[in-house]
Amino acid sequence: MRGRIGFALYNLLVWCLVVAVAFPLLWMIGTALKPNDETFAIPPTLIPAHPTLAQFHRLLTDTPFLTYFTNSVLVAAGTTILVIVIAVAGAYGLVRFRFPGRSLIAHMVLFTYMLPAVVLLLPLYLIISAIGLANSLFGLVIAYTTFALPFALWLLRSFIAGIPLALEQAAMVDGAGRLRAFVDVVLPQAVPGIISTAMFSFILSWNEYLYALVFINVDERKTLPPGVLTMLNQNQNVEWALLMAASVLMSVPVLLCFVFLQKHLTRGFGASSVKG
Amino acid sequence: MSSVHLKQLRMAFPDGTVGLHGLSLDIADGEFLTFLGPSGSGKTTTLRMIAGLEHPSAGEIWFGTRRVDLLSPADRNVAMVFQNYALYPHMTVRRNLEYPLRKRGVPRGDRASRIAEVTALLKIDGLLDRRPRQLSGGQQQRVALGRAMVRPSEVFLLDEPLSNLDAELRAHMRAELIQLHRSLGRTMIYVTHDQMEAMTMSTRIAVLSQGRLQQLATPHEVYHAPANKFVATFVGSPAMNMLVGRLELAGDVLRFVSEHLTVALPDCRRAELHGAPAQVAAGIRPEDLRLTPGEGDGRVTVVERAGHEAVVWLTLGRQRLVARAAAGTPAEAGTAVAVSVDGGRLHLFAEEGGQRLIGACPA
Repeated sequence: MRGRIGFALYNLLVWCLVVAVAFPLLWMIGTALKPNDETFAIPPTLIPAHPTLAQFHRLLTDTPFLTYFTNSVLVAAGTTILVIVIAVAGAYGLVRFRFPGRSLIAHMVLFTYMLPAVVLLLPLYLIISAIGLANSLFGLVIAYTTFALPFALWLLRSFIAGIPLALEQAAMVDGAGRLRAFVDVVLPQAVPGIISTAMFSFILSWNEYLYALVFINVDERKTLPPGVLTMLNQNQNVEWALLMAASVLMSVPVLLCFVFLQKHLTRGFGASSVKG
Repeated sequence: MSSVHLKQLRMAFPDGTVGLHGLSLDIADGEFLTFLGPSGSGKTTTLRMIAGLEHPSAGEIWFGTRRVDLLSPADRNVAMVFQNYALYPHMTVRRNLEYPLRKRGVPRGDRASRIAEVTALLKIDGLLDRRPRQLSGGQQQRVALGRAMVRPSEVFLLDEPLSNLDAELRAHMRAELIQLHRSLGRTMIYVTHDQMEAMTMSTRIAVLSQGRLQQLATPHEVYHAPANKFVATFVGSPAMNMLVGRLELAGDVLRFVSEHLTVALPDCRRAELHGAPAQVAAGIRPEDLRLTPGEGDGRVTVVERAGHEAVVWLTLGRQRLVARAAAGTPAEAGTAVAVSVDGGRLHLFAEEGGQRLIGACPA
């Protein structure tokens, strides 16, 4: 009897937490589906009385939302690919090769990660515009890479360190060169770590606002976070329903990411500490 | 297949420690040579240098008439079984076995027939579609052996391949490895710290300690004529008893004299001992120590009865000794025992440096 009451209480608590965390999301989806006049209706409705996709229609046809979305996808994908390529190679180098200053480099890299983004904003902007990449998506990719890379390097470093050296050596004895052994044996073992790192980089660049706002002044090259806000600020009163529709669509890629890669993600974060 | 020649191999690590001090030895074609030694003796380093996974600081490695120490592991054409097997976890057993063949450009048809041959020999043909983590330790061991056997190689290297198996399986795999060596006829180089493996499988044993070769000989010689005190005490279980004493000439008889034990040496050894230092260490194998329970200076501390024999631990003054006795020995802990030894069974070593002065008399 006591066990059952305990179980019920435990469940109640968990559901309270779930509702508290999920409420803003539900509110976002609900508002996005409301017609304009229902947005400020009193008493408020969580589930729209007259659900409509009108906000989404307006968003996709009357606003530059799709342009921003494409830009965001390009920047996030570009950053992710660049970060993965550099971080995998760098992490492998830091783990496998002994050279003077090895641990110093590893720690310096982390040090840059500790600086607040605002501190680096101006210097990075000056560098980017000096090399002629201001107002370009590639400039943003480079800026995001600078702050995604240190963490990616550390995540992958601990991950690759957990892959037994003997595996690579076995491949080399079996007739593979070092690069071939890396591709055949190390990379497949590192896949969960690479996926975790990729998600981290993707989400970081997908959500970034400050740099995107400062680096890009041309409307057709804006990414979603600053793009959506300027779009909504053009009118005197903020169109909340439209904003919520934009937010819903912005969440979709991240959500898809999590749904498909969740299994690998937990494996990735957990596996770096467990030796195989 | 080929012979292997190590010439003045030296390994100095970046921190200044020396792992290997100029090792030279020749391994004949088709031989089963074991590097035996405690951890840190340089045995694994030597094997890894032969494989090309570590680079000697100085010296040369030759396979037959081909110098290989500057070649990459892939170009040396060696096969190796790693201590933890190092099976590729993301590949099935079949893909694991196929990997070395693919890297050497063996055509598909030949690959299948080679794999079929090896898996039949190792009795792993039912496991081809499993992944390494679905296999037991013994099965993983066989797959690792298979991956090394599947293609022709000049030398077959094994780095403590049995150390992760349980005792029963280890004994079983020892017998299988002996058979395998006989049927493959390949040059095998084996690394272990387990003297039982070294004694049972090798054609010759290279005993290493602190980066130096202590003795290179057949298992019989290593056991019956150890080159120095280290080899004498390292090989054999329980270890050889070591007593410090002097050589004395009493009348016509040469004697070994220690605090509680005096042993007359037979005539056959006198000539060999000419000019020997007076301070010596005498080694006595536990099976050469004769016990007479009931009276004497010795005191039994522990009797380990193992069924087919008994191991008796005793003290003689301050000296601890161990003897092998018949299973039914009346010796009991706490009782007195007399100790004697046949002078012909005594191994004598220089107290200084530990070099062997003489071994046992020819029977």
